[in-house]
Amino acid sequence: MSRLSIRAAGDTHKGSVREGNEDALIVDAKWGLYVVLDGMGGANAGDIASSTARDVIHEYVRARRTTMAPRPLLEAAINAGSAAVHGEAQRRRDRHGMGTTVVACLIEGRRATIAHVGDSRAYLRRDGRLHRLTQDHTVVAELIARGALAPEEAERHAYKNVLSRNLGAKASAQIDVAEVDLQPGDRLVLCSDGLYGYAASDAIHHVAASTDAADEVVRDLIEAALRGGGGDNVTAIVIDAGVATVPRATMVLKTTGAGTWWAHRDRFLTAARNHGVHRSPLCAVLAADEAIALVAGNFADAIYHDLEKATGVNVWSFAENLARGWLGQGGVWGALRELLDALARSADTVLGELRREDARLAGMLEAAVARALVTAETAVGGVLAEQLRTIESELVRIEAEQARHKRGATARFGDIPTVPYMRAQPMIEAAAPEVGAVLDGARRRALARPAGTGDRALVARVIDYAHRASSAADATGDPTLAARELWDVRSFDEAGVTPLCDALDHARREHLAAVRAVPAAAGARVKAMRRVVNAYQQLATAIAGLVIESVAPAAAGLREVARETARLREQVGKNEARIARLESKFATIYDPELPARMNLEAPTEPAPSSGASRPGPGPGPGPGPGRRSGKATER
Amino acid sequence: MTDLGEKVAILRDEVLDIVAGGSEDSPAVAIFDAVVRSLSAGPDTAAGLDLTLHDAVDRRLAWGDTEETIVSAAELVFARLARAAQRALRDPDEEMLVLETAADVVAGTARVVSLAAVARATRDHAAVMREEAAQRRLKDALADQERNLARLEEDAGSQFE
Amino acid sequence: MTAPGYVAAFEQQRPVILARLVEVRASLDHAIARWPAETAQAMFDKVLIGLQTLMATNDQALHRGFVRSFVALRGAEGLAPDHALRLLVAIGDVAIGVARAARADDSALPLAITYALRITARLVNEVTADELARRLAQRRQTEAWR
Repeated sequence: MSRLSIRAAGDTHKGSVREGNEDALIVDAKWGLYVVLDGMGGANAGDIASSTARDVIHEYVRARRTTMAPRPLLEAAINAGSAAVHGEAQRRRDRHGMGTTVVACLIEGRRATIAHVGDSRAYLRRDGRLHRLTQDHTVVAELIARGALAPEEAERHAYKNVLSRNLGAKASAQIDVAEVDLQPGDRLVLCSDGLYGYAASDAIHHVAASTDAADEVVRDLIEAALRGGGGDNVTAIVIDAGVATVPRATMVLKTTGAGTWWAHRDRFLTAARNHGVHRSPLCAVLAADEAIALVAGNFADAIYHDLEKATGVNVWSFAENLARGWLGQGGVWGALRELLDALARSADTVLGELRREDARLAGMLEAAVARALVTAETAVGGVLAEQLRTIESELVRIEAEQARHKRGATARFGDIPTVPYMRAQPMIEAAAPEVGAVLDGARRRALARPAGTGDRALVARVIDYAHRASSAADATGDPTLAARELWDVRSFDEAGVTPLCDALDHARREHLAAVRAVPAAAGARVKAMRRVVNAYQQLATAIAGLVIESVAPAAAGLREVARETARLREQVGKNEARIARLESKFATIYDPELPARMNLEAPTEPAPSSGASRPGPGPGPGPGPGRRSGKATER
Repeated sequence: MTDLGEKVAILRDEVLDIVAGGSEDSPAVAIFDAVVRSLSAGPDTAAGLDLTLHDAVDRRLAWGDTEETIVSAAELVFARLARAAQRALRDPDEEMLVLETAADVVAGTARVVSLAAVARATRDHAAVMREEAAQRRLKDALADQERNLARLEEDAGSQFE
Repeated sequence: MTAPGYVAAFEQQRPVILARLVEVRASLDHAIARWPAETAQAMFDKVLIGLQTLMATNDQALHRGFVRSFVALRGAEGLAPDHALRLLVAIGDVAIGVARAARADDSALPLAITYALRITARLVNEVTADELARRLAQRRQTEAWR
């Protein structure tokens, strides 16, 4: 197989929120090995997991590169990494549960072998499209594969991001492998979830589609993730295969088109002034010249750079920054829309003049500018949706506060009628005298211990309950009733659960230590211990049962609401199909002389569901809205 | 692994026989393994939530096990392990340590499950609000569709006059 | 009324565009990747018919109805409006690619699809902005409770 020239670059960043970086990477052009790992685990265990796996995989491949075929080599190397992480996790309690994802690429000749475990990804850019080569190993994906979850439920699943596989959970891993025959111009991107979890997917597409060098693309990808919030460590590797033959039209657009647009930049700024860009509310704090230079000028520059690099990332960034700056400070959509329209009209003016000079070049530029405006709307759409998500989260929070307030803090939990979480408890006999003496002695010792942090009174109540339950002294040893009493007026959230569980842990440890410390025969102490731990175990599970029972209505409510949504969806879907059938039946007369340009001014009919007014002119040039032909005509 | 960890590990089949139902991924297995892990680490470990157990419980919930299933598994593992330890361990101090450790793990499981339940309720509540918003959008869409259907059907009717 | 000539070309190429969309659906959107091929194809077909009707009639009121249903359905499936927008643009891009490949010397159809995409994107943003305004009003109301 003939070789392709490979150029690769990779980088990692801890992000804007995390303190450390638990990602790791390998960029080894000599051996054609490229790997991204994303570690997980408490303290710095994630860092140890990813770096352990990285070092083992790297060494394994280096040692056997010339003697093993790529696919079995990569699988064996990853399994060796998993075994190393698993072994390390078993050795130390503070590393229990650590693990790492991996996505690895081994290139030999024109073939790329890609193996992965977890949710780090590999993409292939080919012919202008970005294809995902890996499926995330998440619980949701596996439930769908088994038929246990409908695909349309996936996006709403509560645990959609929980991994089903990673290195380190077991000594060997279940690895997915794909092989790709690379073509000149192909670009592979390997990344951790810190990239696609935070960078807008359009931004990733645009950056990956650019003709920039690999190291610049890596830098731009990481920047896109940081711009998107940077809430996780982010790692990316870009691998370029060969040199693509750029289609001729694109070449013309890049060289001549970009230059022509640049040559008309001043004309664009003049048109922008004529179309009132500087009068937009978004420019209210700027002087007219400043507004034109900053807003129209930056827009023109963004189009130029995108033409030059055959990408859309600059227009995307321009529109996103404009929208975020305006909407983020409470600006209204109408003003932003009008500014975008004014910029579009300014571009139309320039293109109109250009048509008189060079119709063909003007046509190509018109298509590129039209596409840039689509990119701008898409970027703005992202910001609108982001705002919507923020408001919805706030509404959820406010509603939860309201609900808590309505429930009231004065009713004790024991007073609220609920279906009791009852489990059949075996009767325990009264303790033998020597055991009873140990129990009494342990209770006194436990209650006499110096107060630590936390709610000492609650701890004492728990110890008292455990003592009564283990002594079978009276009927108030029932764990369900005790759980209700101890819960009292707590809220059913983390703030309610955690202090009670902490008190339970504290009480249990003190009480059991006290049992051990009572001077008595070993036999009596162990019998006492059996009773006391049994009481604590029952109380712990009773409290859990109480919580589960109390939050059950939320799930029932959701099921009911979801049924109604499904009904509405079905109705809308049926209507869609009816409309599509009607639309496709219409005959029309085709006139090849009619222009391709369409009108984006506000429609004449206002939106029925919204009270917002719709300023703006009526339809401009081009075919306007109208009724269809009254006669059936052959097409 | 300490001696006691090994002794308890040997009891695995006896404790998990019926409870586990043969699945290596069942919650009972995770709970038993947590007890063995804790005993194996010995006295030099810090008290605190076992992250592996936490992840295992979360994973079982993600796979669709109910919170009740996991709590029941913890209760059954505790009961069977207590009986098995009483039978198999001659040294009362060893039995007491096993019982303490098992109680720690059960309490840890109960805590994780409780926190997962309240988190789920919060998510469900947010999901109800999202569903209601989705219903509003669907109803708006239906209203638009009815209007457009009326227009299109009228146009289709007039086309053949 | 008359419709521009490129609408005929679009109608002729629709089956090819549809087949291509089904083929590359995994690269369009990870959520669609999980759908069965028939379900994805039915959705793509409605989008293409919607774009064709817009190009034929420039009837934005009708197209708004289509956009509102599309966004509402995707929302009920857990996809945010910007996600729905990106999906529509991705579908349009595939259509443009097929149109260019079919006739490299004819720029009218690719340009028309681009304009239709721009109108579509604008209408999605209108729908989202309406929803945002509604939620902001709701927040003001609920905050008054405090």
